[in-house]
This record gives sequence, C-alpha cells and structure tokens, in this order.
Amino acid sequence: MINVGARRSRRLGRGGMRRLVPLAAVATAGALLLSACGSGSDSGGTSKSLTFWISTVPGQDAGWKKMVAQYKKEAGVDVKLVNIPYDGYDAKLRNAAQANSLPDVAAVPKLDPIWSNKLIDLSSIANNKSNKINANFLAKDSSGKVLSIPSDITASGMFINKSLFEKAGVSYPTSPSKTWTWTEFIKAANEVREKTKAKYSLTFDQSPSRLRAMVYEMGGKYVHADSSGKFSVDAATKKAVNTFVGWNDDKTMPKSVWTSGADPSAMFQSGDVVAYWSGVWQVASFAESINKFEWASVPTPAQPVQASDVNSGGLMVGFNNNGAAATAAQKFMSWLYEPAHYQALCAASGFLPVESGLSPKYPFKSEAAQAAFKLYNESIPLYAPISGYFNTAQTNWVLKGKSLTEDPTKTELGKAINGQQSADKALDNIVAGYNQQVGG
Amino acid sequence: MTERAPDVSVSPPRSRSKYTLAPLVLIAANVVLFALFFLWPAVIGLVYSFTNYTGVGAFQFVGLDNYQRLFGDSTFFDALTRTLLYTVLFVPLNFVFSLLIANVLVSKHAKGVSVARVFFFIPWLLSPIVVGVLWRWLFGENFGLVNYFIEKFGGSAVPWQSNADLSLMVVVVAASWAWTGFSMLLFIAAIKNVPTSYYEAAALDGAGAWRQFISITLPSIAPTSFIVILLNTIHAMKEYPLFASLNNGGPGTTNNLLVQYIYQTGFKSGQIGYASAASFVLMLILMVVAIVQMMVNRRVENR
Repeated sequence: MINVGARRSRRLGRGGMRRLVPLAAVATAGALLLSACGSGSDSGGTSKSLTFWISTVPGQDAGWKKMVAQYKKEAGVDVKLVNIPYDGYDAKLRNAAQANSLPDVAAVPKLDPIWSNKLIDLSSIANNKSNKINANFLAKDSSGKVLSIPSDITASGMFINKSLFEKAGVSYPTSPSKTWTWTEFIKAANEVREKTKAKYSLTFDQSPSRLRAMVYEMGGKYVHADSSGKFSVDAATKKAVNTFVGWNDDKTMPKSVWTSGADPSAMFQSGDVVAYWSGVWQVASFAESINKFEWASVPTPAQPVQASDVNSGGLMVGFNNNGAAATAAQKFMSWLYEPAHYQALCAASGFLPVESGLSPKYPFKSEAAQAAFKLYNESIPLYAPISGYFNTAQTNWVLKGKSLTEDPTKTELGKAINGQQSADKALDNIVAGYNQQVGG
Repeated sequence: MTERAPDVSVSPPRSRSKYTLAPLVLIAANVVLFALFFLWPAVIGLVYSFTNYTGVGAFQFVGLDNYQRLFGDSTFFDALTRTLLYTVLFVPLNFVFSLLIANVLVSKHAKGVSVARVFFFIPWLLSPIVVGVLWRWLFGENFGLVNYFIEKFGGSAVPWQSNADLSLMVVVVAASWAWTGFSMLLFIAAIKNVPTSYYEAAALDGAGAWRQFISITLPSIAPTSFIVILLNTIHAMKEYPLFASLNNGGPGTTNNLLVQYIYQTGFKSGQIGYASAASFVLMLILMVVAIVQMMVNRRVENR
C-alpha cells in the first residue's frame, strides 16, 4: 500500500502539483505583464515617422486622416494615427508616460500632471501672428510655456424654433454685431410661447458650462478665484443666478430639466419649445434630426457682455520623447496650424476653428447648419476674454495637481429650483465645493 | 494482523489527499477571486472609513470622526429615510403583485400560462437603466405618454418628475413591474410544491378559495416568502440605477437614496473615507435586516 501511495504521489505530483500551480500562475501573470508593457512600444518616433494619438468616434476622424496623408505627401513624414477609445484614454496616456512610451503628438481631452513635464513648448506656433490663434484658449504654465493649443473649440449656442417665431410674427437678431439681451430674448420667447401655445419658452441644458456662459453675458464672473486661489461670486453672478432660478416656473422653463434630469434637447426637437440654450455641437445632429419645423441658431445674448463659455474640443500637445522626434512633432504641428491646412482640417472634421479669419466649407446639406457655423465663426472672435476663463483655470488646476472632479452647480441649483434652498445658499455651497476641490 | 497494520495507518492520509486536493484545486479560483474582489476591498473599505482618504495621495487616520460626522449629517439621514421609505413601499407591493400573478398562473382555470409567464418575466431581464428609460417615456412630466393622454382627455399634466412624492411613487411602481417576474417564478415553484391533497381535503371541508389561500397556500410557501422579502429588501436598500435613469434622484436631491449618496460623496466629492463609513453603516443595516428576518423565519418554522 505504501508503494501505491508512492505511485500516486508521482502520478498526481502531490507536492509537485502544489508547487507547479502557483508557479504556472506567476509565470502566466509575468507573461501577461510583459506583453502589456510591450504594447506601448510603438510610440516615440523619429524625424521620418511620428505617432499621433486621437480619440474620436470612428468615421469622425476624416479631417485627421486627410491631413496626415497630405503631410506625408508634402513632408515625407509618416504620421501614424492611432484612434484610442475615449473611455480609458487618460489612463492609457498615464500608463504610456510611466512606461516611457508616450506618442509624439496627441489630441487629449485634458492635461495631466503625470505627463505635463514632458510637453513640448508650442509658443512658436501660438505666437506666430499669421496663424491668428485666439490667445484666450491657450494652456500656458507660469513661465509662459504654451503646453497645448485647442484642436477646435466649442461654445454655447442659442437655437430657436424659427417656425414658431415666424408664426407669432416676432423678430430675432441674425448678426452677432446686433444681438439682443437676455431680457429681450426672454420677452420675445414668452411672446412666441403665448401666441403659438407652445409649452415652454426655453429649455436650458443642465450644464454648468451653459450657466457660466449666461452669467458671463450678464456681466458676472461666476465662481472665480482671487490671487490666493480662494473662490467667490460677485454681485452680478448672484443676480444672474437668481434670475435663472426664477425662470424655472414651468412656463418660461420646465422645472424637470434641472431638478430631475429631463432631456431638454428632446423637448426642443419635439417642436413644442420656443428656444434651446445648448452647445454648438448640436448643430450637426439638428441638421439631420429636425425635419418637422425650421430651426435657426441666433446670436448669443449680450447683457451687456458678448461672451460664451468656450472650451476646447481637444487639446493638441507634443511630447518630448527624443530630440529628432520632438523636432519632427513640432514641425508637424506648425504645418498643421498654418491657416490653409488648419482650415482644411476644420472643414473636413466639422470643427469650429481656434484661428480667426478662416471660412471652412463644412459638408452640411442643411442651410440652417451652414448658417449656424457661419454665425459661430463670426461670434467667437467677439467674445470677451472671460469666455476662456474656465478652460484656462482647468489647466492651472492640473498644473497644481488638482482637478474639479464634480462641479456642484447642477446639484445645488437643482435643489434651489426644487425649493430645497435659496439661490444664494446654492451659490454658497457651490463656492464651498470649488474651494474644497481646487481652492488655494 | 501485523501485515495489515500499514493499510490501516496509511489509508486515512491517502483518502484525505484524494478528497481534499481536488476540491481545493477546484475551488481555489473562487477563493482567490473572493479574497481579491470581496474580502480585500471590504477590508480596504473598512480601513478607509477610519481615514480622511480623498481618492488620491496619502491619508490620515481620523478614528471614528467619519462615523460621528454621519450622525450629524442631515443629507445622510434624508437619504437613509428615503431609502427606508422606498423599501417599505416597494417590498410589500412587489410581494402582493407577484404572489397574485403566481396564484393566477398556477390556477387550473388559467389559459395561455406559458405566454403569460414570459410576458411577466421579460421586465426582469431588462437592465434597470432600460426600465428607467421606458418608464421615463411613460411618466415624463413634459412629454410622457401618460400626461399626453391625461391632457388629451381634458386633464392637467401631472408633475410626475418635479413632485418628490410622485417621483418616488413612479420608481416604486417601475421597480415592482421590473421585479415581479423574478418573485413570481419563486412563488410559482413554491405553490406547485404544495400537495394538492391539502386543497382537496380543505374543499371537502367546505373551505373556499380565499380560506384555502390563507390557511394552506400562505403557510406552505412561508420559506419562499421569506426569501422573496429578504432579497427584495436587500435589493431595495441598494437601489441606484433605476433612480439614476428615471429621475436622477430628483427633483433636486429629494430622492437621492443611500447608494447614490455614497457614490456622490465618495466619487464625485472625493470623500472616500466618509463614503466608506456610510457604506459600512448601510452594510450594518442590511445585516441587521437579514438577521431579524432569519430569526423571525426560524421562529415561524419552529411553531
């Protein structure tokens, strides 16, 4: 019987098996880790080849593909375009930075302290006067080094149901140089609602960005930091926010959007709402989705400030992987921001340009969409510098290693509209949230 | 005898190796996964609940500060109260509704039972997010189907979303609709296991359908009822996606349940330590609920 036990021991490898299983697991894990580390090894180019990371929905990368092909033809440099899924893009960049395998060029959603010290200075491109890049939207560090230039910009936009306005016989401005105030706009929208029996005068995205734009236009600075980094709100902001909360009366605006997350876009597209305060990115979707009435983009109100909350669609950055690749990356981006090339990129990708004086020809069939883009391209150069405050502030927070994980605006104002607290108390709580997350 | 002795002494270890190594290997993966994805995070969560951890960087131990803060936090108590109210409304409604349907479907007079079972079971297969979106279409305050018909017949639109209590009621009904299929299946299995001779004897004694239900069906399916109530209670206390998709915890924050409060405090406001403390309070409440229900069930069974 002892012999049998011995045979069993050899056959099953009792002790050996126990040792083998963890060994195999360790070996497999090691192999997986090694293979994972190896996956980023295609980054870090040469003077003749660059790696360029972007993150767009497949099919919407037409402009990038076009420019990369054109650059290869003109400069002989092979730019390898890698489209990374948006979810996990930040993590992938962090991992690449830690594995020393960052791309040479990237269009990133935001800067990250993990890799911000590896960025190439883009001031020669930003300061090139022939490029006419809007300086309000550049990300700079304290030494004046330009860390990123927007690939494109986005802003708030006012959409109206043109059919309802015409039915009510109410006029509206069409040129940003002769725009209206919020008071005039609300009066006109209420008149249209009453005459056409529409359900609401306005739906307003449940978005801090939209509210910031409105507050800027009413002369406020919204939640603003002083030189010590402490946040506060000014009197104009308090007045504007109180006005906004008051509009949520289930006539001028539906309460359900800011209190319960109802969809303002769907409401506007139903045709039963006079106007919609949203982002310029809605243009492309409205060009296809609104068929039952005529819509139009109208100039953003100015009371008295002509402004918006302008954000970057993407931030173009270059990484200093090695001397030759860094120089090649700089050259590629310089070429890209030359007005003719940049205009071609904006036209093919449907971007609003960060450079002024361009007239991209967008591929929209809808006249309303074409007119909307023309209007925004005319409006953006007129916007006051406050329009880029939040975008720049975000960069500064990142450089200090902080980030506004959660803007308390939606929750606190939702509570104010629901009657749980006053608008002033909501602003106090919002300021406290900012100070806690990114203050000092 | 002396020759047989080694057999006796060697056999037990051999049988141990035969019956312990294989099961150990087979459950090893589960043990590792359990330790890695449940035990370890739970321990970390417990540790975090005694710290001021924000999700990044270092943290300091703050003792019971987070737990003390919780007891003075009105938002936490509001979320806890709303969670308990939701549970108290949802569990009985779901219980009654699913038991009623199960009884109808096991009836010998019922027609189209198979189709009906699938019909009632489908909602349980849907993701809570999809359920939320569907019910939002129905009870959307501005453009929902229900308000459309109310207005069409001359009524005024009902504030399904901007009235806190109505908003909660819509979620209660939606959740009951979604969970009926699961509870119904458990009840059908339990009711079918009740010996038909009980009903035949009761019928001979002149008991009607209601008396048979009260005196035979309900006591016979008590263990299943216990499971249904326990599962529904735990589920209700942890509900989140249905609220997120249906009313976003609104209007305002009035329908923020405990899990939403924990999520927002921990991940959105960056107070991981504080949120961990709230999580452990929720876990303690659930444990108390489970223990009380088990004790009650045991007492009923021992009667």
